[in-house]
Amino acid sequence: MCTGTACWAAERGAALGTVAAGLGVAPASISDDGATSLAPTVCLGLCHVGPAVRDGDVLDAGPGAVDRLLAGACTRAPAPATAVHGAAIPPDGVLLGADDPAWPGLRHALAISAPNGCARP
Amino acid sequence: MKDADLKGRGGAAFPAGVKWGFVAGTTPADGQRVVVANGDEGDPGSYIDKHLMERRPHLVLEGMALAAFTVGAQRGFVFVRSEYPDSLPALRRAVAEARAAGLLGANVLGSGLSFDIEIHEGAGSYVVGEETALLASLRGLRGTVSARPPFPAARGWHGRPTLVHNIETLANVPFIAAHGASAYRALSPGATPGTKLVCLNQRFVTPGLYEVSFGTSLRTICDGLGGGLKDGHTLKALQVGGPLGGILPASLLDTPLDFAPLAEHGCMVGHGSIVAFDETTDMRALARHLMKFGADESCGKCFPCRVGLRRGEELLDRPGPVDRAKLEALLETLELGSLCAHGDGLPAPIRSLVEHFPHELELV
Repeated sequence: MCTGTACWAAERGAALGTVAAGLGVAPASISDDGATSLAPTVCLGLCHVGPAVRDGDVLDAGPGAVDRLLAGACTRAPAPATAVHGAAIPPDGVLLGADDPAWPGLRHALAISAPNGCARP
Repeated sequence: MKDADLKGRGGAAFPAGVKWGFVAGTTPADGQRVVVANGDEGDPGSYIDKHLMERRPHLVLEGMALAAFTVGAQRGFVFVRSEYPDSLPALRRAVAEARAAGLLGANVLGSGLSFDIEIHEGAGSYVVGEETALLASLRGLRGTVSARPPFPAARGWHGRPTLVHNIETLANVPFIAAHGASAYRALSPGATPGTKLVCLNQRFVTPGLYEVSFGTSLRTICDGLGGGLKDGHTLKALQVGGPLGGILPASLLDTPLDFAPLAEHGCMVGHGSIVAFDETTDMRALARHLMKFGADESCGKCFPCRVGLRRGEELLDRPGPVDRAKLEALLETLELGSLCAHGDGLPAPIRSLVEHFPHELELV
């Protein structure tokens, strides 16, 4: 369970108590049969939807996430919306936009630079 | 890189070109230098590096390769926090693609230069986002902080000169390489060069990840891009830049997003996260939450942080008024005595709350 500041701002930590009660496992402990553990964690990087939960390698968040977690039916949380804002920035952005596996910046730099860049040999 | 004046995006805003100069200027005995990408984005409220690692892994790896060839490094690591299970496979896939394309490995694109990258999974520690703790963890040691100097640029991974950069910092490098320093500086006219990713939390109508020019006002970001707060709530305060960032009351929303204007109000750009608190937020409870986070995540290496943050949590947790002089003495001890930014940074938001919300904190 995420207990980071963004999730705290969303629900003041209430979800952790709900999950602990639903699972019958106290935070930071393991069930008697060893099958279920409940760990509070700092941030799961789903601050746009919180509260965020993680079951195995599935990150879920937002309305219904706690119910899905207790039902063992977590679904992948939606990705955040993205947008570029500013007249001086290309419409697709510099850091947002599509990933380019051709590495054009590296190709250009290698074409115009001396070998070994700036480093002493 | 020096002309572009790319400032580190991990919080410290150190000029990347200067750091590259330090590493390039070393004379390691075995000629080995190392580049490390810090993907241990643990700051609550931030999901910028997560997005870059999962959606733009090639941009990050390309930035590492450019850094490596400039400073003369042959080996690179991306340290990815274990809380991001989708980031690891995305980066590993991109590394495999880059090797297949001749962009990583021996004799890259026939240049005679060699550079390769390993993807390393972290083990759930917040403080490992600090560079000396990260390098310890990367070597299989406990993730605790070390005193600097020596800085990693001089003695880092296994004693080798090591260039450590935040993920977003590295993602800026390919644009500079392809388009030059002038084009990069033009992205934010009259402000810090380049662009900044900011991310908004769940309280906004349209929370998300936005790429903006430096100097954009927080009002434009929060009300324009974020659409204000949802369900008719009003903004009480913002925490900008992570848990070590100051807290800005809603009355200061016209502050531009840039290093100097935010510093005037005890705040920082930090990691670029923007966490809104609505009018129902109890600021004493927020102070307690932040101190508890700090105490729980202290690596324990230095006692001002290990003991001080727990004492701070207790001061705020005890019902009734808080002794202001005692709290401020504790904050000063943390600021002066802590070994790293964890202990000396956590007082910043508490000081903001003391300044702007003294009655809610019940200070006497």
